[in-house]
Amino acid sequence: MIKNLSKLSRLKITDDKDIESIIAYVGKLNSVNTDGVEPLSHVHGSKNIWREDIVSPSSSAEILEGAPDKSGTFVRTPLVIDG
Amino acid sequence: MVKKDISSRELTEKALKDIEKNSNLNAFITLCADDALKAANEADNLRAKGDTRPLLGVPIAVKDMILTKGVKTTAASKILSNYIPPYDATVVRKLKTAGAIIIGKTNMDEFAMGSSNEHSFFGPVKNPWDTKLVSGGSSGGSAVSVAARLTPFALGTDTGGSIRQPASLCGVVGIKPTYGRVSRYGVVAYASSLDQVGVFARSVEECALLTETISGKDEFDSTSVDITPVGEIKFGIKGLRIGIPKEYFTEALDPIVNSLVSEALNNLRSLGATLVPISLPHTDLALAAYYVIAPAEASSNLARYDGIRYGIREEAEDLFSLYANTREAGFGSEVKRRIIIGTYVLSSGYYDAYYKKAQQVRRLIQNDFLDVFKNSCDVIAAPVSPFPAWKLGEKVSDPLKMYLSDILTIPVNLAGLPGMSIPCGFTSDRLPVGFQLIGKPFDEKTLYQVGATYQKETNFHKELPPGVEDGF
Repeated sequence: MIKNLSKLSRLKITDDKDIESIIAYVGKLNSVNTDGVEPLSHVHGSKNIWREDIVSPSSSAEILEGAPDKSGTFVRTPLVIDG
Repeated sequence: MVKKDISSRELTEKALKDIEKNSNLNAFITLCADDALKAANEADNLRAKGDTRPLLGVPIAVKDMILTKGVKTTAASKILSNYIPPYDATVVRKLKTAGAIIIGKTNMDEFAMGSSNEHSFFGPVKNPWDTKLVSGGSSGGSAVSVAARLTPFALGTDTGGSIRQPASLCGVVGIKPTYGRVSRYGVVAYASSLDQVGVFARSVEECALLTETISGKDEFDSTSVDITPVGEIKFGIKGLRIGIPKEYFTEALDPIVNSLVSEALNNLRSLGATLVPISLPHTDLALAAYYVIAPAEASSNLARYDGIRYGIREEAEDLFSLYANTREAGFGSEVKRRIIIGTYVLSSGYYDAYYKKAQQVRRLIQNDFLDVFKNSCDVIAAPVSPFPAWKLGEKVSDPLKMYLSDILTIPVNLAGLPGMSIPCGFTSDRLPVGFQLIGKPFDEKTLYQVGATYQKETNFHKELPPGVEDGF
């Protein structure tokens, strides 16, 4: 199972006994009756917050500065689509 | 407030020298000596012209989780070890606007995942009270910077106790404000529904000043909230009802912590407060709920570290291997562990059993707090960490044991409340212990009031680690 999760999360872990004991520990949540309890995803109950779609300037040169490999104004990666 | 007859230049030079001299504590990852000295000169000029802003020219340490334009920001991870941000976090911008001087970036657990500061790519932070002991974490470097008087102030972040716990273990004041009070824009994301920026200082009054400086609604963080500034701190707690949650005083609590915190509570009573026994019945589930919600959010937030746009890259023939090699080489073991757990609890077929369930339990935990605030008390007092600082290496190989150190701070993050740690005494080995105040949402004012009143009557926050002098 960890092998599959590792693939999903782009990691290379194949074994970690601690992960199993942590999953077992959080399993204690299932001992609680939560019928009818609304899940809490935001502490103050905020919903979507919209703003006007206004374009403001930003420096692509500064942002590109951090890229490990670039070509002109582009970030370079290995081949993405084969063939 | 902080300044006597000393120039900002002198203060900044002294801070830089002291940080250098105490490099064995490993509290800093990066120093900003040139920029800091330049800013200090400017501050001195402004002061000479009559500028009296309280933070003008005051050196402040910033956790390396918080972006600083042009200054390396690593989150104590190898994967960001070469990252230089093109912009300032809102809190940094606000500090600069207030005239404060960013002196350097402090060490921490990688991506704020840890309770001892041993999970840093740059090595552990040492506790100035005993350098064989941990500083606590994840904001260990910031706590130590203030405890060893390297700087008078520091910024940290608190997702499950990462400010309050090291504050307690190092003998300084630490505040985690209400979720939403402070902007998270430009703060490396760990668990976005729990993360909050906060502060360290010697006294509650200084903490209040710094917290107010960085607070407020920010157009770049839609979860930030428009709040009224606190203003003057009120002294005196006569008639205030302080709730004492029985679930926080169990046999898991070290007897010395129990006795020092109980002494602090007696002190608050003798100052006129009424102690009210309360119950927060779902406390026992907080740790489990946290270790579903935080890793779930982390697994998603940390997906961005892929070796493409910034950070380190491990070259590979194909894209998948480039991602996997980069992440394998760039993340430490605790970070990988939490990403895997988060991926597991969010994966199809398990979502309802873990993530949804944890969010429901989170609701129950928040309701516990809201109920007692509605019916029984104005503020809650409790321990911070169940035990004082422990030996380096003692818990690092047993994650669950390490997680237990946050068992009394995590519920506050899950409920989004403000929390503060205040020094309240020492063990027989002269290790500091703090007690925790927990407030209603956005009621930092009462925390300041209780904390400042307590500190007027006690001197624990003025005690210094061996060999340390207070030059501020």
